[in-house]
Amino acid sequence: MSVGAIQGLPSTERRRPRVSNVRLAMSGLVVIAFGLAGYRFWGGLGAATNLTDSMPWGLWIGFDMLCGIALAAGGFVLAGAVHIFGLRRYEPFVRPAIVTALLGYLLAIIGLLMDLGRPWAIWHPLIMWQPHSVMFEVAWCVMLYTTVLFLEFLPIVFERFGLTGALRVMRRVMIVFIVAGIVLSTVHQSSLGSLFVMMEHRLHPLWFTPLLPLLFLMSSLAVGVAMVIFEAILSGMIFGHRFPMRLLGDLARALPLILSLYVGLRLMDLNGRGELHRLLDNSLETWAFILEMVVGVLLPGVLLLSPEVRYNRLRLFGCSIMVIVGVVMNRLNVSLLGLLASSSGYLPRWIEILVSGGVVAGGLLVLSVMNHHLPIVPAALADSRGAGSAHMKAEAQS
Amino acid sequence: MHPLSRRELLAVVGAAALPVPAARAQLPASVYDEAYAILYDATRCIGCRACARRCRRVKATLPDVGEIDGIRFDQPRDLSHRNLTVIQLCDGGPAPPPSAPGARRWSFLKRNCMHCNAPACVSACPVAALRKTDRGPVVYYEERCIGCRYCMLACPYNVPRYEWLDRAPRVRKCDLNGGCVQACPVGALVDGTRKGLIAEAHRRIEREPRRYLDHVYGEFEGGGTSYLILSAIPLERFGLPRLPPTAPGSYAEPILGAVPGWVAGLALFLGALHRLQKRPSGVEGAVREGEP
Ligand code: SF4
Ligand code: SF4
Ligand code: SF4
Repeated sequence: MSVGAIQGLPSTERRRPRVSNVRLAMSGLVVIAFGLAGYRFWGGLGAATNLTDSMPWGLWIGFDMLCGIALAAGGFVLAGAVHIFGLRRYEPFVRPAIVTALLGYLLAIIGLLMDLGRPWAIWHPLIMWQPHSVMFEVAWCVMLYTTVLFLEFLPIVFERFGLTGALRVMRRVMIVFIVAGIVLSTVHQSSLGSLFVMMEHRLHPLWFTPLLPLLFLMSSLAVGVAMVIFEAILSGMIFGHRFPMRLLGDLARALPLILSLYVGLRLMDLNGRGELHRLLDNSLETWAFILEMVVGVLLPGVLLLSPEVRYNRLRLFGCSIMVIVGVVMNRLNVSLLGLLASSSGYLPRWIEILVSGGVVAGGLLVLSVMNHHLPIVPAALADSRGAGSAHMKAEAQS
Repeated sequence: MHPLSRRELLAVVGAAALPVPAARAQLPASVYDEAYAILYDATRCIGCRACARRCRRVKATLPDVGEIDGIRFDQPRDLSHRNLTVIQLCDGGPAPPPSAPGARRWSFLKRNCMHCNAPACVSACPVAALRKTDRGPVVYYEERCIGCRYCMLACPYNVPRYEWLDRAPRVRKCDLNGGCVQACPVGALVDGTRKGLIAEAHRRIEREPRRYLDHVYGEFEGGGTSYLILSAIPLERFGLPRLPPTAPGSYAEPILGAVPGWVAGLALFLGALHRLQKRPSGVEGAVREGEP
């Protein structure tokens, strides 16, 4: 999705018409979503959604909010790997990851504005404190981390407009933002799981566990890595230039480790709560759980052990998609499917789906505009300005 | 090249620690001994719904219109934004519920907010729009509410309801104003202090052990409630939950309590790790990269 700044390549020329058609369709979706949003605010949540008293949260929380935040995890995972753990060869991925994360958070906030019954009061947690509430923690994390992401994003803008003085100031303090961003992210990713810890009476036992915060954090680490790989390969496909395959394959080595820890923890947890036998049920929940674990965790976890998969562009791409789909399924299972049995039923209304689609389309449009006008992709990979470090160039050529 | 100075490290910790909540000590249930409470004796209730009609007047709710053979009735079935209290009947259908030995095998139940001593809705609400007052009631402050509806999902009794078709929707639930008690023609509802009513309930059970199950619902459920129920049939048959005597938020509290330590510890760890990197700082590299 990233990486757009190459104007001169013939392949880009050839593909331009197709890209603008896609853009047109996405713009249309955004316009429709705006109209539907108007309808939602005019007629109330009940007019636009299928939400009920027994299912008060729907697609806008389950998808826009939970998945949006989870898929933004690449930002803190990469910032941590590069700037804290010193894995500097992954530096080319940091900026695309930060930009995606910022957009992910902004989209989640838009989804939240759609979903809140009184969106004009969204600022209340700033002054009306209730620190015993997980939702209060979530609200503060969203506000603080969006701010931090914006600050991490600023150097890109400064660089674009040649504000060297501002850049120098940012450089001094950047490590503070980076550490704050990582800490806030871990708290935020886990707190989204903590939200459901209060729903033991509603949530299906396959997903309810006091360990939800830990599971949400671990899966966000996995999907953070997967998103970075997915984006790099996809942008390579669309814009015709490539991140070095060796780097991507090396990065993917983290996934089997995280995924195996994750699957072990979940099985131990099921066993510890005495719910393991539910895996043998023939229920919707059991099948959803098995699908989630096989597609999202077991399959990519095992496949990525093999170098033939890791260092092959298409296979790696497929595995990263599986991890992403798995985490999306997990969030939807926790927030929607797992609550279904204790409710009177819910299927998202078409309005909910179109609005969510419009929000995503809007995000992708902004991303593509940014890619054309901001130095998001390291110069060494994007064109021949030669601004990248020698180290990175060497990687790019290998 | 530019290692983290101690001052910066402190700044990191300080910045990250800003919104840190402190763990709360659980209040002992006895705090609410003198709180206002209502005792509902389901075996005395005749299902006349005078209480629910009074509630309509006091809380200015509209009738919940249902139609039978083209004739329209106020026909409340379940709690809703219009029905803050509702009378339900349980006869168990083909499988009548087990009951106290000398009692009939069906019962009414007046449902409304339980006014918990340790209310899950209150601990869920991010802006304290729901509060437990020392006097007993759990009350809702519309002007604080952001409409996140977390309270609805957190309440173990599924009590809070929403005004889905409203442009400025409110959460709706009973506020324990006691109107229903005054309306009841047969004394199925009585009010008083929580402690006094629990004693009264146990006296009734003792006096007529064949009339009641030996259980005062709400004495211990989820840490105790200010709405107490005496019944001849198990209330689970109405869908009321069987709750342990601990507060329902009790998983969330230790998790929230661990946050400050996690934040401080992780910030210190990451700061130290960064400082240990002897190589030139990656951050500076990233920023400097584009400079001319
Ligand atoms: S019954 Fe539900 S709404 Fe009423 S006080 Fe308890 S948790 Fe809150
Ligand atoms: S909907 Fe209102 S009362 Fe309920 S938790 Fe959210 S802010 Fe609090
Ligand atoms: S007024 Fe009293 S008798 Fe009539 S339905 Fe209400 S509680 Fe039962």
